[in-house]
Amino acid sequence: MECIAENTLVSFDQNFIIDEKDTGAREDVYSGMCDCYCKTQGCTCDCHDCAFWQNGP
Amino acid sequence: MLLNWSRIDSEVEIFPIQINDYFFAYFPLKHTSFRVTSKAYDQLIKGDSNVLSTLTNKVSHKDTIKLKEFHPIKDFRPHRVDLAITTRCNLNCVYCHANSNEDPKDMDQGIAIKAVDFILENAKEQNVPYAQVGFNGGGEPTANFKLMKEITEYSKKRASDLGIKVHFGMATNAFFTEKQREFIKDNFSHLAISLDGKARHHNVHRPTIAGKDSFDTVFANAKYLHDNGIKNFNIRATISERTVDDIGEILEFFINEFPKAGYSFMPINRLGRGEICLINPPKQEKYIDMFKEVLLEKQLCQMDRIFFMCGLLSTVRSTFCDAFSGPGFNINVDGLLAACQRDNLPNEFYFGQISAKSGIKIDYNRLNYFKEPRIVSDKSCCDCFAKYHCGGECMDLVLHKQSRCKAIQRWNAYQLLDLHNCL
Repeated sequence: MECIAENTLVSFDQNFIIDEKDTGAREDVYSGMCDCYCKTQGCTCDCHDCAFWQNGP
Repeated sequence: MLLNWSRIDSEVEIFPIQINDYFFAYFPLKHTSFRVTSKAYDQLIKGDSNVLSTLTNKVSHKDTIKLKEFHPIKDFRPHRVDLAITTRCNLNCVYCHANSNEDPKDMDQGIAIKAVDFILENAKEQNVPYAQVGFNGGGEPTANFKLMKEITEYSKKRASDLGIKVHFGMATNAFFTEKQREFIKDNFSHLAISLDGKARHHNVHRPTIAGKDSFDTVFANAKYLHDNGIKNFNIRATISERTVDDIGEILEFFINEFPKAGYSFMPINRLGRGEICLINPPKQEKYIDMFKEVLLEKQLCQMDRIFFMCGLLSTVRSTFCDAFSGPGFNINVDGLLAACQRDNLPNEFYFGQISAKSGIKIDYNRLNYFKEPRIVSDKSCCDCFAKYHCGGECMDLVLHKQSRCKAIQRWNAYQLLDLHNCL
């Protein structure tokens, strides 16, 4: 019975997923992008380790 | 389009989503999306443990994206300020959310100097690469060019004395003289210029206070500044029902004329003069469908060079902008400190006052009011599959009951279809 159940599960897995995709997201990024201004200003957060403060505009 | 989703509580968040005749199981924090059969989708909605465990097992080996931790601010020491140095403006844009010229006044010079001293000293103490002074909010900064020039010169001198660098930014309508343009070119590194498209788009939206066309001057100034080395240059277009069909044409125009720029688009908000404006905002579905066409189908522009409010599947963010998570250090014309640069803000956005005589007073309770991300704290966000990509939407619009959630969800649904080649 256990063997049948396992087989059933494997078969089911193969059938119900049509496609798998990676979105490319990897971390919670700083969102310096409101509608009006922030994107132009680049990252405006106060942390000192982000790219904005490391590299400048 | 039909969208249904619900959250199933598990160790990893999963959103079953139906879009038209397509079915998905979406794990945003596992950066994975499965297209599944309709039967599996139905079983997932019902909480079927076989389907759920199979899917969660498939993503178990993948790194989980951790949301940033937010800690209350106890000692607010920003090294950037945005000053609204006037409420006057030389244009009379039909949708102006700031209601410029309705109550014309200029910022007191002492307030601006106090703010500049504060951020430059903070930058010095914290040893950051540079401080930043911005001119934004209220009216058009160059309408008070005298103060803008004085503060720019003062900031440079003070920064030099402290041995640090200072950069300058501005959101402007670019309706200024050639002499003013030269000063801006020589001193500013960040510019956001409002240009609503070609002449026929722009002039309808953005006449001068005398009721004349502004396009020729604005375009000439924008082009000159773009071509002459402003490093962070952004063009921002407000879209109405009259221009929404031309979004592709406007974007191509920007790409051709301002190839080094970033491009921002925004529908008219019903705030300020926009509340009574006779030119309506675009229908949200139409606005999103135009971006689907120009970005996903025609691929006119790289995604990282354009912003139009909705976020990307490839980007997880727990806050919409820096208004509260930063928070911003923005000073309105009266010396009120605000978390956002916009005008007509809800009371929650104000967290202190600055004056030339008594200095800076900060209300830390107000400052930390929104520190917990809305996508975690607000029920309306919790069950939304798009929350990690929009970051909880603009709080100004949320508090004015003008959030654009349906449009944001529509855009994210299109991205999901595109990811799976189902568009």
